Amino acid sequence: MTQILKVNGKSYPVEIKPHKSLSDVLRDDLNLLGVKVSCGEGECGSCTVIMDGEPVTSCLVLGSQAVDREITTIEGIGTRDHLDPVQEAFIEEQGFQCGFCTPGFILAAKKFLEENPSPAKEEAAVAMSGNICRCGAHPYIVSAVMNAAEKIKNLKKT
Amino acid sequence: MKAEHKDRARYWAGGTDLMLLFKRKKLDLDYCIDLSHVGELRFIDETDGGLRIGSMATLDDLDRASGMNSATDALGETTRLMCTKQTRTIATMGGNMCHASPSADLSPPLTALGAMAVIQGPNGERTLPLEHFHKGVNKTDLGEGELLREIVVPKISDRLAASYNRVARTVVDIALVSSAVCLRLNDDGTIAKAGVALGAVAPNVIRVSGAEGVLVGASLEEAANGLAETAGSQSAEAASAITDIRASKEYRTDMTAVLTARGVKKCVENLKGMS
Amino acid sequence: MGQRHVPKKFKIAGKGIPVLDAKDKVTGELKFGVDYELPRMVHGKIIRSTEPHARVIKIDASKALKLPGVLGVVTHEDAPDLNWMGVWDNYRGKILDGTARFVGDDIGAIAAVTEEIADQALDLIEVEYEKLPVVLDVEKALLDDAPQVREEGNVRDEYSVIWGDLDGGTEEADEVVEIEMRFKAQNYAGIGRNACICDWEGDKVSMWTSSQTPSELQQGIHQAFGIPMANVRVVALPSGASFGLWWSNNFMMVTALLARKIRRPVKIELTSEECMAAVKRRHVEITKGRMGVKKDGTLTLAHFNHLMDNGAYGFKTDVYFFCCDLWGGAKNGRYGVRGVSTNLVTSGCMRAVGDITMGLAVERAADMAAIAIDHDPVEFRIKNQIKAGQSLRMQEPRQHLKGTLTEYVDGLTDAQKEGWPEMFHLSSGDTEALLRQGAEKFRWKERFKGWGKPSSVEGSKRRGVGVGTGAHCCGVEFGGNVSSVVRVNLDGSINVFSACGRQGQGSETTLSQVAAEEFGVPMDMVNIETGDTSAVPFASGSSASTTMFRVGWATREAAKDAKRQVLKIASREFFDNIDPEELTIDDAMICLKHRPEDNRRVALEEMMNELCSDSLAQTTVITGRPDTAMPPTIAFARQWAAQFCEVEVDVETGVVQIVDYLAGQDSGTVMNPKVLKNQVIGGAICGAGFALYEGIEFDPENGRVLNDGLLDYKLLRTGDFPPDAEVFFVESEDPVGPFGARGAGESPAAAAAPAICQAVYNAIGVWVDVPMTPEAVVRALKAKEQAA
Repeated sequence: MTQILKVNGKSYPVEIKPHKSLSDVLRDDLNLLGVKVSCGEGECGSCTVIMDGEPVTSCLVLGSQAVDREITTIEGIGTRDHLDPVQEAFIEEQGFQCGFCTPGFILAAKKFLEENPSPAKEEAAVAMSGNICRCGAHPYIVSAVMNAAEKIKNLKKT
Repeated sequence: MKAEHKDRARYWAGGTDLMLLFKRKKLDLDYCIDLSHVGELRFIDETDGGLRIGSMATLDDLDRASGMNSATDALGETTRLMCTKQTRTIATMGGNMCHASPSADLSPPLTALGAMAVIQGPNGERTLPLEHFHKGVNKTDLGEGELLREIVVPKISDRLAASYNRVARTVVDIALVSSAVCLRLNDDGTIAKAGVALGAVAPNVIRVSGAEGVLVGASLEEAANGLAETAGSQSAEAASAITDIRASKEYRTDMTAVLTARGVKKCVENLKGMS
Repeated sequence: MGQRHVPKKFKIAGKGIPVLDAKDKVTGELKFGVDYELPRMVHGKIIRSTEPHARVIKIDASKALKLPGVLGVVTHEDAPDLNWMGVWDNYRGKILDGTARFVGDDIGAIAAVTEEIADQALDLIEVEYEKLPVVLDVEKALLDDAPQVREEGNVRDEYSVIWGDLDGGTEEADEVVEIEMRFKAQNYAGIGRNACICDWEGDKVSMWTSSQTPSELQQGIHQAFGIPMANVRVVALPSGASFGLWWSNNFMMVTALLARKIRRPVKIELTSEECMAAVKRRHVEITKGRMGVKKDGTLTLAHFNHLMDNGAYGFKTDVYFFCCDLWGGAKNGRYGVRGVSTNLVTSGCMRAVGDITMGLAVERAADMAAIAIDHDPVEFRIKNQIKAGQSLRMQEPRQHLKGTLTEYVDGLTDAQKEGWPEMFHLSSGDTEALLRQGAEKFRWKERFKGWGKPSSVEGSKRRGVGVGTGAHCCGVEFGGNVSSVVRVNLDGSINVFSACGRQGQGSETTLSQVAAEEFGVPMDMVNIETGDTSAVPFASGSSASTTMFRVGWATREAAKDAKRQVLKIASREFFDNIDPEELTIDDAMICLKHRPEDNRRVALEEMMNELCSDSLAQTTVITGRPDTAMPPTIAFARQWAAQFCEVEVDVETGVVQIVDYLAGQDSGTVMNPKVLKNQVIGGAICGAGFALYEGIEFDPENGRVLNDGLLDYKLLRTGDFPPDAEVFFVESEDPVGPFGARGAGESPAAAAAPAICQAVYNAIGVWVDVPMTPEAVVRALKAKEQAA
């Protein structure tokens, strides 16, 4: 049965296999390769996407559970020429090394800053713990979140 | 649908545990009955009858409900220790209860709070204490066609404090061992009711009536000075922990004492702060 | 030799520019092995052994082959009877040989039109085994009557480093301390998994996979299939965090075998469990040793024996430990290492191999010696660690391609060695400046209250500070020398071809900086290819901290060579045959080096156009390559780390929190501080994970990896490491490394665990075995109580 998935503001007809996770549907059927899958068990956060305004580990969601919901992936928040402030901050602080976990971190950071626009550094460190960076860019991920918070505040002022 | 397909169908709450079983080929189903769309089961309400938590309330909902009263404070604090933010937005209270894992974090605080499970089935509704809802590792009292509708925590007075303590390895981890303590005060400031429940030291959450008995009737001073440790050693006695790759039986048992004593002291501090 | 300040004379080297693929990474556009596809591609799954040691009698795939969509199966009967060697002996064996040597071992593979069907087919395959005796324990595997895992036998030759006189050193000592440490195997636990796509056209093969070592993978395929290297094209793609996991792995060979049999492009994508339990891991290791010390703080003796398990297919004789050089001040010493095969998943070089384990044991023994004579740990290190210019203890680091390294060096003429640093002496850098500056920044004197004394106590929480040091090599010449190629295009832009990995260490950026600096063009005129073996010359890939030092050297030499060629022609065409040495390229303009008043300038593009239109020019393409040999790196270059930390230990629960961290690094000239600070902190966090939580749990019955997921293999997250951690650099310029740079990625991983262990000791007054899990801390505290 063809169902409609709403992703990054567009609707896509998709034949969703019953056991297939949302992360696999987004990668295999919609070619959204910015959705990275590593552990597949909700531990590493690489596959984080935003579903109805909430960050979710898309490996733990069935594709069919996402029908009728608004999905945002890394492809939906910024482009090379118009980066999201969080993406810019991650570049400035180099809050990554290999980059595999980065889309997940950026989406998690974006949602975190919507809920908590002026976090303390320690809060940001705990908040980013839903994702794993094996390369160990930890302090620079946190400073990217702090930097992004400033950027977003400044954007709102102007 | 569940009645028709029985074992080949499972209710699907958040699905965060079931997805893991799928992936590891430990679960084979023909049908999943997705409850996550059933909005009527997703609520957290404070009523005259107590605090009602719908089974489809997510862990994140519980986090956000912090501040409603001292029970939701303790439950919110608990959920923030569970899995990751982006899994808490999917995982549900009902799923956590029905998966019935020994280390389910919500079980000890809910049990200590005296929570009741409200079960909806083909023959109507029934209610039983949460500690009787669990029947072993991944086993519940749910019969065919029944589902956990909500959990009810008896009326929360402003003279109640609850505290959940656990040992975990990193900032995101399942509990190696955990303990929840809940104290309710009489008007004279003595302890009217005590709830002490342990996680990850038995197939399911256990209540430590010995520790509860020690605390009831005591003053806060007595509880903080001496009785906390007694409640702790009662907890260690009640525990029937096992050794696995996460921790040994000995360590788990020792820690129940430490954690229960800490929980009692934290509750006392909170109650002192309130008065 | 003290600290030398590097003058900021560079335009591009040393600049903290964002990595070249930064935008690809933050937009999710960077493609890894798992993201690739080919037309007509089908999917493979590996049939894995359920037995720890068994002969495969029969693989019955008849049911699987009947499943619609299944295309074929390969077993050992399809595999060439040829051994292939992984990088640094991390693998030695055939692709499939009909014997399973660990639970999870590759015994065959199946292909199907979709991954789901391949996965279903896997469950329909029936394997008949003849069980063989099993050995899982590293010490038992040493015994003469132990079951033999490999036809070559279990035990590799001992590799040892020996100097002085051990008896004399013992005699001379006022105190002798003894140590025994047992290390669980750390898991690479790489975020990102891997996949391999392979396609045959006739007897030519192409492979796309995430790998740090494109050249060696090409060589491995050549060995495994007995085909010329010229027929093998590897496109090494970026990987997730690798730490040595994704070099040349047997699953890649299995993919090639399957593709060859079914004549379709095949992709094998590994699950996270396969990555964590069936590819590679750090060794299980045991260090036993003793150190002797005089009351004045002089180490008289350092004697260590180290045992490491190779798992099933590792074949290493040693772990390349540089702790013997680090603590080279010890007057007499012997460090011996043996490798032993077991029926456990293959082990191999993981970040800071040897120095994170044996190095930790040596650091702890040194700490125990310092305690015995009550010396400050910072001062004790300064007193007993090697200094720049001194003789290295590791005089004969395994064999060189041409006999021993000494034989090779002695066989060279003076002309061939011209400009080389003194062989077997430390060329640059040491720990002294790191320790002095670090102690100052960390306020060590104020915060260290004495051995075993907490710096503060609050309720059940005790804090303590610690310092640790670490060393490692800067690449090793073993599998051939290095090279790079720089090609100048008609517009003056350059293509750099340097084999290396892209696992997040930023080499594509730092190597481009080297080339741009040397050749004299801005960064946007440099494009680098690192992974395609049809373009890059053979070089040892990103392993053993090679890339900055050795590939960087080759890249600079190649750029120099290209520049020489350009300037020679420029002299003739535009500068009246002036000595080309007088010319240089600056910001893509050819100009005079030392006569700023003579401002003749010719754009590189103009000069290249001239070249193009001049029929006398021998070629329109200028290609540079190194035209001298690189001196054998291991005979002089090391990297150094000194780290300081504060921990808080809950003595009731045993939970350890790192609350403050300072990491000092001497890797010579810093090519890119943003890249390097990330490498240093990343190393520290890898080491901190090893110190606190990381360790594989093997099933005692069959050796299966029990914690093959991140639920029970615990990695440190952002909330587990102080967000205010700081990095500082000491830049002791190296005479050989590009612009004075050296290797970097591994010593920081080696320095972390010693610092954290010492801090825990100082907080609670007892040493704790690693990983220092809450339970291990409580156990150690209990043992201390019972002893008292």
